[in-house]
Parts: sequence; structure tokens; C-alpha cells
Amino acid sequence: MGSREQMLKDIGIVDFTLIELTLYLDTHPYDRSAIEYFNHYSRIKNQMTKEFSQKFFPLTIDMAESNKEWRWGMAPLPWEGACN
Amino acid sequence: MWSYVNRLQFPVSIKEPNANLAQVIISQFGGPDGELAASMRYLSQRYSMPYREVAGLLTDIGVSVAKLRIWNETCKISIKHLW
Repeated sequence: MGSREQMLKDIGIVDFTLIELTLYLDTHPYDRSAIEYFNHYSRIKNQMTKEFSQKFFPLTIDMAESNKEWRWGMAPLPWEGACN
Repeated sequence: MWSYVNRLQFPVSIKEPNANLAQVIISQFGGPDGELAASMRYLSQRYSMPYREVAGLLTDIGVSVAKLRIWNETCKISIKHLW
């Protein structure tokens, strides 16, 4: 499913949509079509985040299930160039 | 309240270090009208917000600004290579 960079970029795109939808829904809590839109992209983002975390490194602490080494602590950090 | 997400909202790639630009970014990050102060204002004003939906909005904006901060910080640190 693409390179690390491509996957991070895609997650960023979906996440941006979700952030904006969240702000809209905060003041329009009964907009059914916006809610549907949110549910749709939220599901996609969860799926993408999970896939990325299994393939490369955990993006959130609840995806940091580890075996031999503590994956969360070993993950590269954005300011070390990991997210470009 | 907080949980860290180990990625950037938008990829940052510094091709040419620029000390002047870094200075501007740092003041936008922590300066008197910087993101850091703004996010703290959003997050404390929500406690006394009489309109419930706006209180929710203040939470989400405060958090978004906090995410921006992470972006800024990364920018700043990347420019550090210059020094």
C-alpha cells in the first residue's frame, strides 16, 4: 500500500478533512449529511492509521503493541526527518 | 487530555536553512501573539463559555492550534541545522 511517505501524506489528507468536519459539526450537530461524511472518513482514517502502524511504526500509543522491542519508544520522530 | 500522535499534519522539508525566517517562526510559535498563547486562551476560555456548542468548538480549535504548534516546533528545529 505505497511507501511510508505516501501513506503519511494520505493520512494527513484524510485527517485534514476530519479536522475541518469536526469544527463544522461542533456548531451544526444535526447536519445528517455532514455526519455521514464524518463517519465515512473517520473509518478510512482509522484503517489507514492501523495499516501504517503495523507496517512501519506506531502513530499513536494505542497502536504500539510490541513483541521483542518497545516499538513506541523506538519509533523515529518527526523532527528527525521521519515525516517528510 | 493529551495524546501524542507521532506524525506531522503536513510534511516539513527544509531545503534551505534561513535564520531570518526561523526568527519569525519562533515568534509566531511562542511570541506574545503566538500559537502557544492562543491555544492556551482557547482552552481556558471554554470553561466559562455559556454556549455549549461554542465550548465544544473552543476545545477543538485549542487542540488544532496545539497541533500547529507541533508543526512550528518541527520547522524551528529543522532550521536549527544552520546554527
